[in-house]
Amino acid sequence: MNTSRKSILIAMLGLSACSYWNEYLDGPTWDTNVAVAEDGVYVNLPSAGLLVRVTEKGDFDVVDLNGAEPKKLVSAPDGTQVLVFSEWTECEDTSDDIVLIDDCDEEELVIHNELAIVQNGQLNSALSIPSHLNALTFSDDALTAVAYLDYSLDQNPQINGVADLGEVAFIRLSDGARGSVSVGFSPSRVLFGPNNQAVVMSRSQVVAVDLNTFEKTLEAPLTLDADQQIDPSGAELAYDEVSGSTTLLLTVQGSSDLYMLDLGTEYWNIGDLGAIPSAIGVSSSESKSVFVFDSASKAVVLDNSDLSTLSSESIKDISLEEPANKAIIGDSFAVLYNDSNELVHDIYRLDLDSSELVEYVVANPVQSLRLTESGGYAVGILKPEYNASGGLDSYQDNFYGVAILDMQTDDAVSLVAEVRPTDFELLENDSGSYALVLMEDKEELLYIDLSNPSVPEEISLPKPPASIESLPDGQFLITHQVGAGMISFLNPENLDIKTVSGFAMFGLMEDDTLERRGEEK
Amino acid sequence: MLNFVFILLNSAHATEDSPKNELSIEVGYLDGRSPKTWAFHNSTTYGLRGGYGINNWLTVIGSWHMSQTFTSFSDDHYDDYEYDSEVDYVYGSTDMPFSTRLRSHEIALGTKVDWSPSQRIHPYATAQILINRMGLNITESYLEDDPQVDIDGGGMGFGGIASGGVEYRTRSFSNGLQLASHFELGYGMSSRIQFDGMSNNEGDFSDVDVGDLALGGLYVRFGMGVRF
Repeated sequence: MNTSRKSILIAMLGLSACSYWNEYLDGPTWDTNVAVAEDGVYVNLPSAGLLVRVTEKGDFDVVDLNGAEPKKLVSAPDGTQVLVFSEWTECEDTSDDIVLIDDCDEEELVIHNELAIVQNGQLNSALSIPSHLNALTFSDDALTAVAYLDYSLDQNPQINGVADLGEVAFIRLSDGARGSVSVGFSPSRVLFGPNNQAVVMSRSQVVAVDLNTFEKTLEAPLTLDADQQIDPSGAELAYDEVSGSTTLLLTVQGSSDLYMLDLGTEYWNIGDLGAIPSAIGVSSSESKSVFVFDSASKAVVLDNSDLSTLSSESIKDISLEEPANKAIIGDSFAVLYNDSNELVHDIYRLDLDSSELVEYVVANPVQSLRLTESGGYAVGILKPEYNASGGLDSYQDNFYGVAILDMQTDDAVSLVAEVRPTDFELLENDSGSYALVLMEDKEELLYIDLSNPSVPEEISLPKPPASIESLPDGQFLITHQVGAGMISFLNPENLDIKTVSGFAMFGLMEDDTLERRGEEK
Repeated sequence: MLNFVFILLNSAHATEDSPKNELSIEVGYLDGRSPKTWAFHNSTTYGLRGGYGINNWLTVIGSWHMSQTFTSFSDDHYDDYEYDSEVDYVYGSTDMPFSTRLRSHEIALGTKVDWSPSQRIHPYATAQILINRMGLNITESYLEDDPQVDIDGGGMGFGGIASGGVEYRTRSFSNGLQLASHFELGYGMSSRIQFDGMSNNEGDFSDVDVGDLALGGLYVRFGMGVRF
């Protein structure tokens, strides 16, 4: 047999031995919403049910959660810990031949929920929590975490047995001590006030809790009529340096009333803002509070020292050309914009001292807006809008864009983006202010010098990005749309990129076993 | 029982000058034992089997089989996009595909006992040890020119096979060769093959523990070849 015939035979045998499959996993191999800590980046692998820690050096290891599967990760504000909503599965049938979760009858399966505290790649402690708690917030000193049900995150919360939907769990991160307080129906916002207090808003009442004892210190109803339902829509704490008083500013759904609760005297005051407010901004340095309205072209600025004696007559409006529904507070000024009304192109800078108003007009409606840390620039993502008129305006309207507003010179630049900007971060250093913008499905990162935004630099990425966030050491972390797992670390000093990949393949072949059989009841 | 076997062997039609050695090409199948085996390994193998006849009814057999399975993985959220007719764009795809290639080599070695009730049909039984070597590679896509992910490694499993089959043999040709075809069915089992310590981008990053696969269950082989 000549060589070519042999080769054909070998190739045919080889090809016949190959198979090609397409397989669908239950979910993504990894969640690009990672949790950043000082010791590394923590990544949830939903398909494998594992938590992995990844470092910039390319080292990664699996964090042992004692058989529990991570569901959601939240970084502590000080970067020392990561809190992990997790669950483990029990089979009430304790037969030895039941090893996999699939081996157990569905009626016999019980899901246990935990909040795991992870530090330096190790499980510090795991607290049993009710299954419906899905949101976490942290006290200003980052010593206490508060878990509660945020119905907007999950419209079908899982209930095991019976549940108090008004329960809020307080967790002291240093020792894992835990307390629970029932704060009323549908807690919607947790704020942290002076004297180590947490203030929780729920339907028709406000509750203050002492974070040392986890006991209620105040229970203030929003109405004396038990049949009346008042749902808070927004809340902020306003601190007045002169009097030392702290006032809770509370707006409620469908009402123009502003509820003001002095946390020291526990007295309520109510004022009428003249329209239903959509957002509150509080400037501690200026001791001012700003209110904006989706349905009215105005803003209201209140002096925090006047809140206890405020009356409807003393509330002064500042007229805007177009309504704003969001407010960002800078140093002595507020930036007002609208991210819900497709017809609004105006962004305003409102001086909190003089009430002077500067109007910026951008090319398209605003999708999101942020201020640089110094407040020198505002950067926003613009979204496409419908325009049938034709011409260059119409052309630009069809595209996403990036808006850069200079707060010193009042210049506004609207860049047209080839594709949707998916995420961005702002950076300030000795050389200037910059925006790092990710573009959908593009293997480039836009590096925009905010003082000269018209000529952005493109930084090559190994794969299309999914998200970007800043790290405690000043670097930036970029996640990529790669199933095997890919994270890049961007050094802003020299724009070097270090990419780490493959971490999402841990446990890819592992079966779903009942890991904690010894702990079952 | 021994008497029965002795009577059967004495009644065999194979003669002393019949070909005793064999060589055949085979298609085989060995079931997966863990639920995820199917995603990576199709369990169908192709290979060669050879046998050295010690006498008319006992043959030492050995085989080498291989298979290669390419799997393209994606998550089932691929179609969960939203379409906004007003601004005419599509967004929300969370698909993050990756691909695997699993190469499997099965080496079996054992004995085959024939019974020859006729000159053409020969039922037989085998008992073999099984060595299974698997190599796994993971990358973004095998269509990618410059893959950024290259995870490579493998492991070995050890086990055994017990099977029964039937062989059909033609008349001997003038040169002494016989054509033969066989089909066998049985049970095979292999220890779990570990894919821990998988090299990641040639050691640039930490090794990856992907998990393990286990083969075991139904065993089938079909082959055609010659006896000489």
